[in-house]
Amino acid sequence: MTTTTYDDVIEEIVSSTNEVFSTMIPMEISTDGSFYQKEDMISTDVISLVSFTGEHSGILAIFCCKDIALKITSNMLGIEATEVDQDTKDAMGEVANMIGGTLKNKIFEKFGAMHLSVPIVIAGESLSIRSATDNGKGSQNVHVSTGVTCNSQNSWLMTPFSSNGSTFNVGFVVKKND
Amino acid sequence: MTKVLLVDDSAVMRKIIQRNIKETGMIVDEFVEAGDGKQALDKVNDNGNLDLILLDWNMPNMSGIEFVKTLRSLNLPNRIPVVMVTTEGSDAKISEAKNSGADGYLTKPFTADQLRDTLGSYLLIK
Repeated sequence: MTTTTYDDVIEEIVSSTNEVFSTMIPMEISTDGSFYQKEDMISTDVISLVSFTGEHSGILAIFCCKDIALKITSNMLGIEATEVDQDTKDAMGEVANMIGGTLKNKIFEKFGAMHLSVPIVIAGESLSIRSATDNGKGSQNVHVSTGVTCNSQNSWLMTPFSSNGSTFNVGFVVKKND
Repeated sequence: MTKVLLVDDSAVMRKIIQRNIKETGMIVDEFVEAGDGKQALDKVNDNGNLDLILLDWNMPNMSGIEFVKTLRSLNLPNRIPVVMVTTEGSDAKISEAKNSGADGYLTKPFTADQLRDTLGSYLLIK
């Protein structure tokens, strides 16, 4: 596996996220730049992700606190969500699925055709993530564990979005399969 | 009586679609729900008078595309229209769905207007 730079997908990540939040949630969000973050520095309450496989393998994930997850769930369902339950996990998974699907369509020319997995959602406290690649055959294993420090060298392209003073991150990591 | 089968592994998405259909004035008397293609086949067998099927693509157990291929192979006497509602939005996927027997296509995320425009051919609007 060789590392691919992916600064040039920031615009697509922002537009994909904006499309989902303006239509299906709906919720006003704003963003101001992206940054790279080693994944062993990530600590969050809710992680929802979809993985891509194809010429490239990658993951798109939403990292957020409980308050944001509940706000998103409330807006999507038209109810007041007060605890992180199955509806919250389902809603966050669907948000990751829609952003990932929209992004996949936008970056097709840069990264080739990719298959999108069904979403995975983990909720807890101080969650971390480890995205480990196998022997380069094209699949990507995703390990999400609580409080586990990992040694992966993968850095995530993080794009923070704000809404009413709270922030969530849309993370993206991708590698070209050798 | 208009009966619509919603097939999506996300219960939240099934709720959102129902709410949007109601809010945009489309007339549906009963929603039947399924979480994957296998469940959807059971619902088709149990509900002979379905007017429309809204179908996600990526689902566990049996995908939407597998479901629509199986459904069309049954050669049911009343052909039930199928509209894909999915994040898969490439031209290749849309062609694959239509060649497999899907009648319409709507890409997530969608606006209420887009939903109404897509389903307006199949459902009455108040």
